[in-house]
Amino acid sequence: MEAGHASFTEFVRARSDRFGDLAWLITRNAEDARDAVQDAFVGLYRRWDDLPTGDEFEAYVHRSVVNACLGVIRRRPRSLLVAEPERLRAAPASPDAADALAASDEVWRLCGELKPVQRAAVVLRFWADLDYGEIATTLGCAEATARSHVHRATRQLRSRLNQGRQ
Amino acid sequence: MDDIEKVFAEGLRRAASERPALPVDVDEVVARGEAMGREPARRPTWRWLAVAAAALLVAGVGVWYLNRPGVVPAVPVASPMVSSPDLTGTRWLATEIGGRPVEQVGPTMNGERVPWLVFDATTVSGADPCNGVGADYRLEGDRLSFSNWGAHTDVGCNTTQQQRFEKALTDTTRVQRDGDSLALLDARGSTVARFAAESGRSSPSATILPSVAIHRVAIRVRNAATDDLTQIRLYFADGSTAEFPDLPAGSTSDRRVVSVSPLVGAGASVGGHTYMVTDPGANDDPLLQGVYTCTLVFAAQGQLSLSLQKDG
Repeated sequence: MEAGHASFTEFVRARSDRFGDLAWLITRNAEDARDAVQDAFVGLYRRWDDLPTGDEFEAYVHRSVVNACLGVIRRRPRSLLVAEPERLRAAPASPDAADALAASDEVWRLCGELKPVQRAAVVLRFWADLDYGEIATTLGCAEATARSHVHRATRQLRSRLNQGRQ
Repeated sequence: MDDIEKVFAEGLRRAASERPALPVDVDEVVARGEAMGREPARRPTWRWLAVAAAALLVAGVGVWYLNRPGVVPAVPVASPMVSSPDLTGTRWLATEIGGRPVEQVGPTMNGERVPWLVFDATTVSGADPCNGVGADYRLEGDRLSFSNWGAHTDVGCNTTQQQRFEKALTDTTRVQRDGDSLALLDARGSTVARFAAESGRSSPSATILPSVAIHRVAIRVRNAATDDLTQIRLYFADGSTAEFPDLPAGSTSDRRVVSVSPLVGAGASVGGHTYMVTDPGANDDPLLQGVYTCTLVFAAQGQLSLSLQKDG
């Protein structure tokens, strides 16, 4: 078990940052992200000696983190942050660096308005760079559903950015 | 990757780069893991797969199963044989429970006549239909189990059918979806309940139940801020809104019964400035029948937080 413990500790050190990014993008809350990461690691620790290997291991890990995030979101009180409406206006998009920055803000804002599972699909697609089959496996849904989640989000973003240009 | 997808990727990359530190306490992880006990992954072992493979080879289809792409065990276990049906995004109306056709009851205060279920990613909610029900669920392949059933009222409108519905959910171990039809099966493989998708027309109840006015709940707003709130408005996913009268600090409004889908936002004015909810993504659960209190708190930093709790 000592060897297993050491390898798990090494795994935690190696993956904490990436898990943190993924959890932050899905939960959008530092406390929730931390809880989700801890929960995911606890779940993996409990099954450490019996986890799959290779690509299956990566899929299992991804799914553990995403499930932990969705679980935290589901458990937390319905707590919402609000801001001045002036800050909610669509940002314009153009090659200009400042506008690109505004477009990134719009991405973050839009992600906040997506349902958690849809947000997870978007994050897995555009941040984790998973294909739709892998996203479907991670979320436990049909590939068509994963594709639909992402397609609707990109359509929304396109619409908003176009509005910003007008 | 097209331009919009690149914008998405860049926006997420930037958001990730700006996240706060999230330290992981390995000792805490290990302590929690040890306290909860080691849990075998319960995924198919190689020995089990070998047995299954041999059986399938005999049947002539084993090679296909062993070589099909994208087979990854679920967490913690996935059926190696059957992919999970998509249960989400549909209101499932019961058509048969315990081998008997569903008897419609007089419309409840929500206009419902038959038991129903709605699945999201990890939870199921619904009604029998006189009492709301809710639980966590786990779907692994075609294996379906419910857990953590929430407390609910005990209003009797068709007691025998309500008991059959509860038993059917308790006995469920597998699920089968065929288009707009859903069947729940017990451990023996017997069908314990059948459902039809609300949008379909195969169920008589689907033509009777309107898709709106299903989620009617009473909501009151509590101003837990130290400032007076004016122009209070709640926003729901079906596009409806509910306006509330001005609330002095520390006061609570009367209940308002409204036909709502999930709460997706709120707005209020403080000192002449209007604030809006910006993170409705956390609120994708349908509201079950009952009374809710929506609490608004205004912080000095210019942030307003909203929490929604079901009373009782």
